[in-house]
Amino acid sequence: MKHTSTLIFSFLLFALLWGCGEPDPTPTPDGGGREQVVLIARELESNQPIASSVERGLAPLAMDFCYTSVLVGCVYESASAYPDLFVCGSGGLSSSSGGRRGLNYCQFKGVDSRGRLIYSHPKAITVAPWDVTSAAVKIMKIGSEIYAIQTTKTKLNVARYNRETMSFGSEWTYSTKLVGVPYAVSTFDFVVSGEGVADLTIMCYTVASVSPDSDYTEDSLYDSAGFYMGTIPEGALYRTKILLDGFVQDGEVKQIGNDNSVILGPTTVAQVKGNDWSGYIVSNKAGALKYVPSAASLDVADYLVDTSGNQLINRSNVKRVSVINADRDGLSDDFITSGEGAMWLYRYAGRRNAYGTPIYHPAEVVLMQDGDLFSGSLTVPNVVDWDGDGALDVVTGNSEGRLMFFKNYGTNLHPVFAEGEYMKLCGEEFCIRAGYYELQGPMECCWGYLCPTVFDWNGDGLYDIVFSYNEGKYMYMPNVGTATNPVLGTPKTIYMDGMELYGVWRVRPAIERIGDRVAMMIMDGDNALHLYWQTSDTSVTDGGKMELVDGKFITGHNNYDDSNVQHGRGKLNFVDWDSDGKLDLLVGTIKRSSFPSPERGLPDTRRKQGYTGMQVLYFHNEGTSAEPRYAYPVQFLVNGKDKALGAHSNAPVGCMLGDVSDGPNLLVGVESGRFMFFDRKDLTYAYLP
Amino acid sequence: MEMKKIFENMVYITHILALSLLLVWGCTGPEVEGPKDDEELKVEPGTTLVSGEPLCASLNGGLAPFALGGNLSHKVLGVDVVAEGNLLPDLFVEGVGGLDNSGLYKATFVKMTAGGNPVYAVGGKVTKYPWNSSSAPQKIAPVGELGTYAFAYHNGSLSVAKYNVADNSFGTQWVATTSVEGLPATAVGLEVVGVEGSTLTLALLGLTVVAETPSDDDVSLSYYNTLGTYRGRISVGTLYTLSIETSSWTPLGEATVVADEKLIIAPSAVCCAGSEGALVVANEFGAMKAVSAQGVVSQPLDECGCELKNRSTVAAVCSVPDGGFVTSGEGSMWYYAPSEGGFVSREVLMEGGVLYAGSMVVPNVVDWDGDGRYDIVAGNSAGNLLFFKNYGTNTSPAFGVGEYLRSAGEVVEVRAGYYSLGGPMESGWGYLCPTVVDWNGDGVQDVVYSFNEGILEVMLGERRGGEVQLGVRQKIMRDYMEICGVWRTRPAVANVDGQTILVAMDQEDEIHVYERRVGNAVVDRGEATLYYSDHITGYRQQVDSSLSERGREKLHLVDWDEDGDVDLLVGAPITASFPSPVKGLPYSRFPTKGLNVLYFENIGSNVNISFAHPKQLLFKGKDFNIGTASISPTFCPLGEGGLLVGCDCGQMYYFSKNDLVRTISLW
Repeated sequence: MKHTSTLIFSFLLFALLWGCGEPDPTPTPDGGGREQVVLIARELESNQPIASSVERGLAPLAMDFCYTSVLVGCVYESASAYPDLFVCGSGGLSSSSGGRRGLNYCQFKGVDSRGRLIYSHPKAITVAPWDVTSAAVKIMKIGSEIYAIQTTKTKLNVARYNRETMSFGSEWTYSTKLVGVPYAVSTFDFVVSGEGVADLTIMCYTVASVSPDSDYTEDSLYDSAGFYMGTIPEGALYRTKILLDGFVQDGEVKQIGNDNSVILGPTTVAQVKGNDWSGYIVSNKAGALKYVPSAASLDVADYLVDTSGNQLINRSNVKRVSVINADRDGLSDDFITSGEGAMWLYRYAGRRNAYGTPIYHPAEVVLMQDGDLFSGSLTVPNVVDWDGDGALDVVTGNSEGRLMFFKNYGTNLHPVFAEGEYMKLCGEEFCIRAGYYELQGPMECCWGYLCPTVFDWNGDGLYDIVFSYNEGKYMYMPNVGTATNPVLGTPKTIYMDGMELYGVWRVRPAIERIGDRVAMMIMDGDNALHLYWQTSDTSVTDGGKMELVDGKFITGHNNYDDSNVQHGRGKLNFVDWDSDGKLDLLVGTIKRSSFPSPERGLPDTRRKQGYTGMQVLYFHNEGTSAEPRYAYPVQFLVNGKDKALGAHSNAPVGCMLGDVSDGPNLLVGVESGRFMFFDRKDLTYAYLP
Repeated sequence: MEMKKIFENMVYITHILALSLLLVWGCTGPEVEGPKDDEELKVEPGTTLVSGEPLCASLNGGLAPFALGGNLSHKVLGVDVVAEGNLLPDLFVEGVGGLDNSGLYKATFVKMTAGGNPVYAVGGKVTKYPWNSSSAPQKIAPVGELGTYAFAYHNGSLSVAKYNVADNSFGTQWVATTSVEGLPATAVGLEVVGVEGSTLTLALLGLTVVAETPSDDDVSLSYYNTLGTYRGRISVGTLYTLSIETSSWTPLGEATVVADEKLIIAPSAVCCAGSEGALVVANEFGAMKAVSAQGVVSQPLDECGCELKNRSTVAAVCSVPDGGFVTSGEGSMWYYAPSEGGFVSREVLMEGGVLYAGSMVVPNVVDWDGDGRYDIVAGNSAGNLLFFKNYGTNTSPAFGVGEYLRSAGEVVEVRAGYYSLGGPMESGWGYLCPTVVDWNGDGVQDVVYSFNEGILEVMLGERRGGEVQLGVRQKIMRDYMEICGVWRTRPAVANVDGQTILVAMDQEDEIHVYERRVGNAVVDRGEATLYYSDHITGYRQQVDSSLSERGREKLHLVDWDEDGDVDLLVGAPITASFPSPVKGLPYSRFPTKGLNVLYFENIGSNVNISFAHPKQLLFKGKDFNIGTASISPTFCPLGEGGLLVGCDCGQMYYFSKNDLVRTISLW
């Protein structure tokens, strides 16, 4: 069992969900609509991620404490209905720190009541001739053997899998030449196409990605006309034959069609095959899904659409489309996408559009057993009674720019959280993204880094959502529904003196009512903590930079990493941590943040001394709530020790879950999408050296 | 129940219903911002379509937003004493930029409409004044019984000039120039607060922080750093008061600061307002703050109790004796009348005016409301979208004051925001360039547009209760990435042969073709070609001195030669050079200034578009200049058919096609 000290209560909670009044958007083979979800109450465990309360611990499949889980292979081993999966966890904590960075194997375990795929908890595969934290391989079954394949412009590397040792060995089984690949390789697919032969399809960079000559300090990546000064990569498709006997190339490399720009920013290609059609699905970092028929009969690639005629989007940021192999029913028309966030299955709907492009059902999340509450990467939680039923829920933003709601069917002392729901705006899932003007370049446009604060901003007694995101601006979505049936209204920009309130990026604002005014704290253009007072729903006025008790301003950057994009990212939260009647401040930071000053600050000064811990700081308020003056920050320890949760910012919130007889406890959203719960009695502090 | 009682109940219910509707109407505000006459709209006889002239307003005496005519913006410098019998004083209005009519004018009060809109007439041009652009006054105002004076503060020195109503001049000499202590070097606003005996009290809006643009040797560098933070400085200001002895015009002591030194960012003007004599300060972004005599800062409100916003960008303000005030800038002038709940804003109008849609107008002639008559829908530099309903016929159209259209319930205000190519001080502009077309094929008009940021977007229309209501802004994307081109251009869209084609200026300032495929996703059809080979660019060779000098082209697809294939019309700034930087129109013909509308004949087909060399349109065989920065042509099926061309100063010129037959070309 993953959680050794989990107590199972003597009763089961049955929640009959009717899809919250919405029709089931995912037509499942056995039908949708009314469904029965079983929740099992589990006690909150301090120093652990909140576990999934769904029966069998079902949760989105994601590698522990990694913020990216990339599907690198599908093999029919455990069952004939659906394959087992090889998944690469990248970014995040290594196994020695409790993470699943590296290659993992997940066994197919069945489907849930909605027909969604369920997998076992991952098992690590540690031996391979490539860096196992790299997803630049594809793993598949050829005959009775399992192989990992890697392709470069000039080489084809193949490693055979040893089932007994769960290893690919330390050397390539085959390493053969590739000739005639015209450009650098972005991605590839390898599919057995006949007796002893396979198709190698390669997406080549016809236009390579070139970053602007910038050290990310002062100069923007965009010029005075607002254009990116680098190059956005473009890709085209090529193919050749590979003889399976020795994995040698057989024949020329030929272009598929004549479009040299099949897709911008290519990340993946996957062959698909139906009864009477075949082609390639390509995707990119932005999330586009396009189709190129094998015969290259279209002059431009077409967009995939869903059964409602809407453009089908790759819900996984950054990457992979993996077609489920043909073993199942002779067809390979369904696919799974993966990357940052959950993994998603797209089922072929059995028909095609006027261009011959296959139509797919909307995506279904892929699940695993014994999982944790999962909300996508870089999660930023709020613990509030969102639906007005008296129990504290979790509302959170993530790196994709989406908003999720985890309903609490239990109590605040013993919460029982349901599977997360994606929150909607005007009937569509809310998603905010950077767009073209992303600080790190247009290829990062798929990210939103939504940092929400749930608060009654307009004073009507209903919770609203105030947020910042990738762009460092601030907006709010009013609740235009009711306390028990909240409905998000169109986002409105927050201004100061008629200009958009602007600060550094990816900051969660701290907001609280102080007397008859509402205070909002952000990180300003100097990367300093800065207070504003609300003057209307869409306006604030300047309340000045925050100060320490010695009068110094409080900034968050260090004095050696000049890269500006290391600024910001602070996750601010007002909470009366020590119950003295004054609002204190919690700040979640990144690994190299240095609060309160560049020369000496947390957590960076301790990190340089070898102490890598939770990147959550506590600023005790020694002034008043209306005129705060903060003590020097301290860093949280867990049971007297440092607890690393991941280098990206940790997002803390003081919460009233669990035993709060001594004051609020701590919930921390981490880069891998989990919510770490800490009972305050387990928390002590490390001081600034 | 007896029939009588049933009837009485029905009447009662109807009254309740009507009252409820009125209440709802009152709270949501009227949709139409124009005149509020109770009388039925009167369509004036005569034609509004005169080839070669701007469209005239032809409702209710030709009521239209007040404009001097031919200017990019207006600056209301102040007021004269209220003439006997008038509700409001005459205004001193400066016309800024544009083709003609620059200078200072007296706008004379005519009347107030039943709806509360003040109506002014363009009076005489002020003949003489002792200032130039660097010594211009911040305010002109009456000083008790002494008359009307102009006050100019610059670099520690206050100058005063007296207005002579007889010859409409301020003379050639200052009445007095005196040193002032206690003020910053620059004051962007000034107000005459009051006179008591011989003591005059002035309020000045001084800059405590002066705006600064990043100074780079390399003009290709963005004004923003890696984090998207502006590398320059935004100005900040606060209020001061100064007492002046009127017999000598000398200060009675130093100026005194009355509010926090960071009272407001980007300040632009100050005036008295409200019954309690508070001061209102305005800034470049539309914000307004009230400051009491005791220095207490509060937020002025509108009649619904919401934050009062200045509807003029880059505002100047001046108070009027009823406690209200007038604002001006780029776009319409607005009168803010005091009322019980807050200020009520009403457009300042004129009679016999031309149709006015704000600066840099980009019109479309479409049947917006589905009544079979062609209307006008236009974007402007402030980022607004205006609807001019046609109350006449397609042969003799009748237009009045434009209505501000809404998107998702909010007035359309597409603006650059903090991240603007010219820096945050330009955040009040949007340069909305719309094309009205059925983008998604549902039979309802949508608005496809680009703006200050060069990004392509769409607002989808939905018909509700006979009206087209626009939804939220959405991106048009290729490969799920925003398409970014040069700024301030209008994309052309056409539904041809079962496809929806979008033609836009790309990052290279080249004409680029896209095809809508699903939703807002387009596929790239590549650069448009000249004779099936060369690309078509719009910039001139010397333009790289500043990359933001590119763009501004207004594209329009129309079958101009009526051969069944769409052709392209391009409204080009005078600095543009189509089809190549070395040799192109209109720049190769400079300094000759003509009608900067270029016609690209499609020599291919609707599926395989390729163009011939551009030709510049002549009006009746001659060059005809209506502006140089923003020229926006659109096909106009009104009258005998032709073009409607929006220009810099907000006017829309009609040209009969018969008068545009002749063209000029470089090839």
